[in-house]
Amino acid sequence: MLAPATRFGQGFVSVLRWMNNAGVVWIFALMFLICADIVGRTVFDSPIRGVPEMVALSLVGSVFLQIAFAIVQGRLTRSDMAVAPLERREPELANDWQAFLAAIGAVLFVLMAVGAWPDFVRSVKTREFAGVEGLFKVQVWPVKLLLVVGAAAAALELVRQLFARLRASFAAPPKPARIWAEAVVLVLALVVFALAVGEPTERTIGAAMIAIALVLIALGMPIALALLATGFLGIALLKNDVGIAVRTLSLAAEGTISEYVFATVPLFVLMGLFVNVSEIGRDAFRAAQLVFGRIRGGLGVATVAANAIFAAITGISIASAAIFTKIAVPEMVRHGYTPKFAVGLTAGSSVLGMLIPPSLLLIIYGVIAEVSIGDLFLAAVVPGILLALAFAVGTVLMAIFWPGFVGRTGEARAAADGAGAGSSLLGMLPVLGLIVLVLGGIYGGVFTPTEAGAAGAFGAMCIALLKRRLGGTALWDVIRETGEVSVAILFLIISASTFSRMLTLTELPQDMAQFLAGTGLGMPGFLAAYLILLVVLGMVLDSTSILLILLPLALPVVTELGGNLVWFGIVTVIGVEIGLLTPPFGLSVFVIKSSLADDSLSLGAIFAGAFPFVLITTAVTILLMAFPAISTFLL
Amino acid sequence: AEPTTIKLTIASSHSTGLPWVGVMHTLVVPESNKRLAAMGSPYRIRWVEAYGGSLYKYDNTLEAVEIGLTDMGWVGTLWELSKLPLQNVTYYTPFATDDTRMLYQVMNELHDEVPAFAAAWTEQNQRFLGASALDTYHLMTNFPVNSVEDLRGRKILAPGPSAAWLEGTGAVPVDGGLTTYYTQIQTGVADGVLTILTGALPYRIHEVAPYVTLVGIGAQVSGAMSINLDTWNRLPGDVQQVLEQLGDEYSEGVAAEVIARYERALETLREEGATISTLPIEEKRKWVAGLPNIARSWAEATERRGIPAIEALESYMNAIRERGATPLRNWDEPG
Ligand code: NA
Ligand code: NA
Repeated sequence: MLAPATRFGQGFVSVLRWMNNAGVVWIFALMFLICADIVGRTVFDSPIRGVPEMVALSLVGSVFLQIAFAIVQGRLTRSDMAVAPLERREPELANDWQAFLAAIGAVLFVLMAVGAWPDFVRSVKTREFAGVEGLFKVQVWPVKLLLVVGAAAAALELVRQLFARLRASFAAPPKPARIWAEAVVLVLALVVFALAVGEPTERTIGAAMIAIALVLIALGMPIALALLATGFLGIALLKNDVGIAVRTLSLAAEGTISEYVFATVPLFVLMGLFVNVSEIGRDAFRAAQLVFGRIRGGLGVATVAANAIFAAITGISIASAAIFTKIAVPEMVRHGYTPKFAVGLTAGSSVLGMLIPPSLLLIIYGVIAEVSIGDLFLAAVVPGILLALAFAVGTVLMAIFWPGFVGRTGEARAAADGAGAGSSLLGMLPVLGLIVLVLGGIYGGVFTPTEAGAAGAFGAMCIALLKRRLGGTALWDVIRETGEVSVAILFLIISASTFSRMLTLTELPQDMAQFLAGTGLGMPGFLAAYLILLVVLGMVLDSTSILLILLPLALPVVTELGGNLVWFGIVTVIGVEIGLLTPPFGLSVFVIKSSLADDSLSLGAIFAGAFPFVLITTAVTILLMAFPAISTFLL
Repeated sequence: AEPTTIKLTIASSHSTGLPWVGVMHTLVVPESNKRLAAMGSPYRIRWVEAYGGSLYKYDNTLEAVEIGLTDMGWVGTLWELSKLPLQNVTYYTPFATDDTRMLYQVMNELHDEVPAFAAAWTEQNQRFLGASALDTYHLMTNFPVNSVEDLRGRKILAPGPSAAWLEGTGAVPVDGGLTTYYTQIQTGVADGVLTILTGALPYRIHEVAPYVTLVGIGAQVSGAMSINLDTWNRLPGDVQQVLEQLGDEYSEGVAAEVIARYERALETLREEGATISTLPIEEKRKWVAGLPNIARSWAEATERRGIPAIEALESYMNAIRERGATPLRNWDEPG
C-alpha cells in the first residue's frame, strides 16, 4: 500500500475505505436475502420475488464500491517475479515503472467511467428496470451510478499513486540511465504504433495482444489491468473504432458479473472464511492426522485427506489454498517436512476444492455448456476421490524415495500419538453437518447449487457462533476479507471477459477449434490437443477465463465426436485446474504466497514444490479422458 | 474487377443448435453473397461468425449490437422487458394465437407500420431485420390435468412474465429455467412447468413430468435479428436491400424449423410414453376469464414510461384478428 502523504490524500483514502465497507456489508446481506428466500418458499410457500435480479445487480454495485480501495491496498492479483527483484536492486527504476503502470490503469478506469456515463443517464431518463412489469421491478440506475462513481474513484486513486511516485522520482538523487528499461517501454510503444498505422490482420493483432499481455503480466502489472488494457486496445484496433472499445469496457464492467450464479464467488469465499474461523479445517486436519499420522509421509497424506473433506464444503480452490497454508504448512514444517514440499502439497491439494462438489468451476461449466449442474457434481465425486488417492500415494512414495525433497518425515510419526483421539473425531461432526447441509440441500432439491453458497455460509456462521469463535472483530474481519478476496476475483472475471471478447473478434480461437476438429484424429487426438491447450492457456490465464474462451469452441466439437458433455465437464475442470499450479500465472500458488506468514519462500520455490502435483493431476486427467465411465457411471 | 469486401461480424449468445441462431449460419451468411453476386453488386460480405456466447452472453444480446461489439446478431427481446417492452406484447397477451408463422408475420409487419416498434430499436442504436418466433406454451406436470381446477395449490415453474399467466388459477408460480426444470420437478420443488415442447424435449422434462396437457397459451416472439445502426448507415444500398430481404426470410426459416421441431417433439414425447391430452376449450375459456387484464395493466404501466403501449397493443390484436385468429380474449378491450 502506498500511504497517502497529504491531508487531502488521507481524506480521499478514508472515503474509499467507507465505500469499501458499504460494499462488503452489502455482500454479507445477500447471504441473508438468499437464505430468507429459501426458507420463505420451502417453509411458507412464499418466495421473495426478484432475488436473482437483486443479487445480480448487487454484485456489480458492490464490486465497484470496493474496487478503488482494493487498488489502495494492492489487492489486485499480480505476479511479482520480475518486479520484486527490481524493487530490491533498482528501487528508483521500479518506482518509475509502477508510475507508468498506474498511468495506464488510470486511463482505463477513466474510459470505463466515460463509457458508462451515457448508459447511466439513459437509465434515469427511461426509468429502466430489472424484473418483470406487473410482478416485480427494481430501478437499475443506482447500480449504473455506482459503476461510474466506482470507476472514477479507482481512476483518481491511480492518479494519486501516479503523483506520489512522480514526486518520489523527482526527489530521488539523479540516477544513471537504464537503457534496457527505456527499451522495454519503447518497444511496447512501437508495437502499438505499428499495429495502429499498419494494416495488420486480425490474427496478427490477436497474437500481438497476447504477447503484450504476457509481457505486462510478467513485468508486474495487475493481471486484471493487463487483460483489460490489451482487450481494450485489441478491440479498438480490430474495430478501428475507439468508441466501440470504450463501450465494450463499460459493458463488460456492468454485464459480465451481473448474474445470479456469480454470487457463488463471494458466498463460497464467505463460507470458507467462516469455516476457517470456526477452525473446522483444523479439526478435519487433526482427525486426518490421527488416522494417517502413523504412516510414512502421514502428515502429508493427512493434508490431502483434510483437503478432500474440506473440498466437500467449499466451492473454490483458493479457499482451500488459503486455509491449509495457515493450518497444515506450519504443522508439516514443524515436523521436519521441507517448506517447499509443504506448500507444494498444499497447492496441489487445493485443486480438490473445485473438483469435489460443490464447485464454482463446475457451475460455470454447467452454465456455459447448458448441462445439469447436479449431474456434474455427481459425476465429479469419483474423479475427486481418485485424484485425492493419487496425491496421497504420490506423497507416500516421495517421502520414501525422495526424502531430499520431502524432508525428514519420520519425526511426524511420534506427533500423531497421544490422547484426544475421541475429541478429534468428535470435532468432525460440524464438518459432516455442513456437508449434509450443502450437498443434501442441493440433491434434496431444497436449493440450487448457486444458493448452496448462501446456505453453507449461513451454516458455517452458525457453527462458528456455537463454537464461540465469532466475536464482533472476528465477524468484521470475515466480512471484510470476503469482500477483498471476491472483488479481486470478480474484477478479474470482468477483465478476462474483455480480453476473451477481443480474442473472439480476432478469430484466433475459432481457427484453433477448426484446426482441432480438422485434425482427423477423432476423439483421442482432439482430447490430446485440448489438454495441451488447457495446460498452455492455464499457464497464463485464470480458470474462468479459459472456460469462457475455449468452451464455446470446444463443445460443438465434442458433440460432433459423440462425447458426453457431463464427462467433458469433469475433464475440462480438472485439466483447467492444472493451470492453478503452473507459472507464470498460478492462482493457487499466488494465494499461498500471500497467505504465508513469512517471505522466505519465493514464488518460484512454491511453483517448484507444486510441480510433482502438476504431473499427478495431468496423469489423472489423462486417465479420466481415457475412461469416461469413471465419471459417468454414477449418473 | 475484384469485388469490394465489407467485413461484418454476426454473433449470438447461443449456439447454432437453436433455430434462431442456426438460421443465421445456414441462411443469412451463405445466401447474402449469392444474392449480391446474382444482382451484379460490386460488394461482398466477409462474415466473421461468433456464435455460442463467446462474444457476449444472453443478458447482453441487445447491448452487444447497440455498441457495435458485433455488427449483427440475434437479440433476445424476451430479456429486454424494460428496453423493448412493445416487442414483448405477446407475453402479456396469452391465449391470443398458437400460430408461430402468423406471429412472426404480424411482428415484422408491425415494425413496418407502427412507428413505435421500429423506434424502440433506433433508441438502442440498431435496426430490426426480422423476428424469431417460438411454438406455443403447454403444461407438463407430474399429475394429470383435466381442468383448471386441477392446478389449484400446485407449484408450477413459470419464469418471467409467464408467471402472470397463472394468476387466478390458484397455482403458485415458481422461478426457474430450462436447465433447472428437471431437478426442480424431480425433487418436488415444483409439480410441473409451463413450457414450449421444443425446449422441454432436449432436457427430458417428460421423464419427471409425464403428463403433457396441450393448453395452447400462445406462441411467442422471443427475439429478432438486428443490425447496428452505424454499421447499417455505412452499408451500400444494394447490401442493405439484400439484408432487408434476408430479414424476412430469416423469420420464415426460424418459424419453419420451430414448427418442424414441434411436430417431431410431439411424436417423440408420445413414443417415449408421455401421456398427452388436450385441455378442453371450455376449460381454456375458464382459465382466460379468470385472469386479470394483465395486458391492459402492462400497457398502462408502460405508457407511464412514455412509450405508446396501448396503441401497440391495439395494433397487435387487430393484426392477428385480421389474419383470421380468434383470440380467446380481446386484451385491447378494457375489463
Ligand atoms: Na468443492
Ligand atoms: Na498457471
